[in-house]
Amino acid sequence: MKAICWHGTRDVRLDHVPDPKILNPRDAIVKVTSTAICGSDLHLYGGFVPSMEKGDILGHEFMGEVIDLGRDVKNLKVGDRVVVPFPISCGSCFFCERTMFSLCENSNPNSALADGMWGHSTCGMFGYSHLTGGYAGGQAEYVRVPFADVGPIKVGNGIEDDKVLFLSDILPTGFMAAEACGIQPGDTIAVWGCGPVGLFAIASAFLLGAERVIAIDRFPERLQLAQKLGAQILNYEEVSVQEQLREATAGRGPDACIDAVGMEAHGHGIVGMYDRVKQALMLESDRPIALREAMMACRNGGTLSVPGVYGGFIDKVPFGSVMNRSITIKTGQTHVHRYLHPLLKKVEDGDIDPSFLITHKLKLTDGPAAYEMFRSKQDQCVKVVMNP
Amino acid sequence: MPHSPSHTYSHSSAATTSYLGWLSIGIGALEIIAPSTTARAVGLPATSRTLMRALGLREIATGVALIRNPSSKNWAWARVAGDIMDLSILGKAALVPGAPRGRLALSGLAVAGVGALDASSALTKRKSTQASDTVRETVAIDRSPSELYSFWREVENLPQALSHIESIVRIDETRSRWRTVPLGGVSLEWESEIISAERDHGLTWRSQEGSDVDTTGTVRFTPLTGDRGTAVAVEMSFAVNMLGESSTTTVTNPITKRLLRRDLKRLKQKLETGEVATTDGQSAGRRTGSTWLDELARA
Repeated sequence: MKAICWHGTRDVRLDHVPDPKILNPRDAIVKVTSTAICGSDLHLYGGFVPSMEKGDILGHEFMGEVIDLGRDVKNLKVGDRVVVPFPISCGSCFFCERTMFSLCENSNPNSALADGMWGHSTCGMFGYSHLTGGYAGGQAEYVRVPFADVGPIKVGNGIEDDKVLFLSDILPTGFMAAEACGIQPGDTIAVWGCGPVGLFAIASAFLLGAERVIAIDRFPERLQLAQKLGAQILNYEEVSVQEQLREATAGRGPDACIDAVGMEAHGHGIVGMYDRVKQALMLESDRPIALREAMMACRNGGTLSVPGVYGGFIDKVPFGSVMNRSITIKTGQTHVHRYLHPLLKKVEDGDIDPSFLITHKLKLTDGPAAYEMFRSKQDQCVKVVMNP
Repeated sequence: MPHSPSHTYSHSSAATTSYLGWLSIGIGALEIIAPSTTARAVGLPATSRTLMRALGLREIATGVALIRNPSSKNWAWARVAGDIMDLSILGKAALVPGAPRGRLALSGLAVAGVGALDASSALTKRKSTQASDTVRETVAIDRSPSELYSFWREVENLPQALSHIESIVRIDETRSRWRTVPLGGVSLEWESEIISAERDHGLTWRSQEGSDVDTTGTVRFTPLTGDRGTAVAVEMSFAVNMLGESSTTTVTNPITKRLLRRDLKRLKQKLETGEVATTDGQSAGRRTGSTWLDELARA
C-alpha cells in the first residue's frame, strides 16, 4: 500500500510498504477514506519530537471502513464506517475507567522510554514517535487499529467524511480546551493560535457560553476564520497583546487563556530570538512564547488551558506569576473517546460544522508537498485533508 | 543459593575495576597510535589528531592508576569525569553543520554506557559496606490478590509476561523447569522451587543449587485501597553462574531490574486487556515494523 513515511527533518516521502495485518486479538484493519495533517504533525516534520525513526508511517487523524477484525472485537463488523481517535486506549485500566483515555496504562509498548522522558508514560498514539509506542499512523491506504473494540466510533452513511473526520483529534481537542476553562456567564476567553485547534476552541467556548472570545494570531486568513466564528481578533505583529487584553477587560485580564500554539511558537524581537537560539542549541526542546504570554495575561484566579503540544523542557517560565496569582493550569493530550458521542451528536444536529476550516483537499500522493505547504503556510493553508 | 552481599561485592567490584582499567589503557593506546582513524571511527573530524592524542594520554594515565589502586574512589571518579569530557566533545562536534550525527550519537551512546559502568563502579566503592543483593519493582494490576496468586501459581502462564523466558515446565506442585530464550546462542536452564507460599498473599522461590543461574525472589500481592486493584511487588536476585565471578549480582542487577519492570508491565497488560501491546510485524517504510529503539524500550 501507499503510506506517508517520515525519513528525517523536513523529509517525508510517499513509500510503498506492506499492507498492515492483525497482530493482536483486539485489532482491526481500517481502509482509510480520509486522513488529515495535524499541526502537531508539523512538530514531527520539523524534527522537534525526539524518537522518530526513518520509515515511521505518519498520521493520527483518519477514518475509513473496517475490512478485517481480530477475534476479540465483537462490537464492529466488516464494512462499518468508523472514525478512529488518535489515542490508543484499552478501555478498562485505572485511567480509562476514569475517562482519562490518553493516559491508558496498557497501550504504550514503549512506556519505558516515556517513563524516562516524562516520569510516567502516556497511552500509545498513532504515528506519533516511539515515545508513544511507535505505532504506524493513518496517512496511508490501510491502518492497523489496536483496541478496536474501544476507540473507533461508527458513523452513518448519511454524513460526509469532512464533517466527522475531525472527531479523531482536533474537534475534541479544541472542545476539551474550552471545557477546561470552566466558562461562567460573562466570561472573556483569550485564545493564542488560530490554527484548527484554536478555531475549534473558539467555537467550543461560544457553545459553552462564553460572552466574548479574543483570538490571537498573525496570519490574516486565520484571523478571518476566527472573526467569522464571532471572535475579536488581535494580530500580535501589529499590536501589543498584553496591552490590548488589559484594555479589553478593564485591566483585569481574560478569565481564561488557551494556548493552542505549543512548542513551536513564533516570537518576535528579543524573546523570539532567545528561544530560537536555545532550541537550536538543544538547551530547551520547546519554544514556550505563547505559554509565557498567556500566563502573564490571565486574570488573577483564572484558568490557563493548554491544548498546544509540548515535548520536553521549557525555559524562563514565569511560574511566580502562576503561583502568586492563583492560576489553575489544565492540560493533557485529549481524552478523545470521552467526547466522541456528544460531539458527533452536535455535528449531526448541525450545532457545529467542522468542515469550515478545510482549505485543501488532496490525494495521499500529494502528501509530501502538502507537509511543506502547511509548514510554511503557503497558499493560505489552514487544514489539509487527503483521500487515499 | 543467593550470594551473601559482602562476598558478592568484593569479587565483582575488583573484576569491574580491573576491566575498566585495561579498557582505559586499550582505548588510550588506540588514540595515540592511530589518532585519525580513531577520530573518524567515532565521528570526529580526522584533523583532531592532537586532541585525540591528548585524550589517549588521559585514558592511559587513569587506566594505569586504576589498576594500581583498585580500591581508590578518586581514580574511578576520574574516569567518570573523562567520560563527561568525551561526551561534551562529541556533543560539540554534533553541532557543526554536516557532522556525521548518527555516528556521533552511536559513539555518545557507547561513552554513556561505559560512563554508567564507571559511575556504578565508583559508587560501589563508596557504598561497599551497604551492598544490596536484590532488586525491587512494583506495579498496580486491576485484579484481586487471589486471581493474581492463582495466575502466578500456574507457572505455565508466566512466559506470556516474561519476555526472556521461553518455557516453564511444571515438575510437581512446587518445582518447575525454566528455560530462557537463546541469548547469544545459549539458553540457560534451571530448576526453580517454591520454598514458601501464602495463599493469595505471595510466594518465595529459589533456583536449585548447581544450576546455570542463581536466582531467588519473593512476590507479594497487596490489595490497594479504594478498589484500585492489587500492588504486585517483586524482590529478587538473578546471577548467571556459568559466567563465573563477572556475573555476580552487581553486574546483573541493573539488567534484572530493567527486565523485571518491563515484565511486570507485560503481566499487567495481559491480565487487564487480554493481550500485550506490540508493533512487531506492523507496516513501515523500512525493513521491520519495530526498530532498535522499540527493542531497547521493550527488552
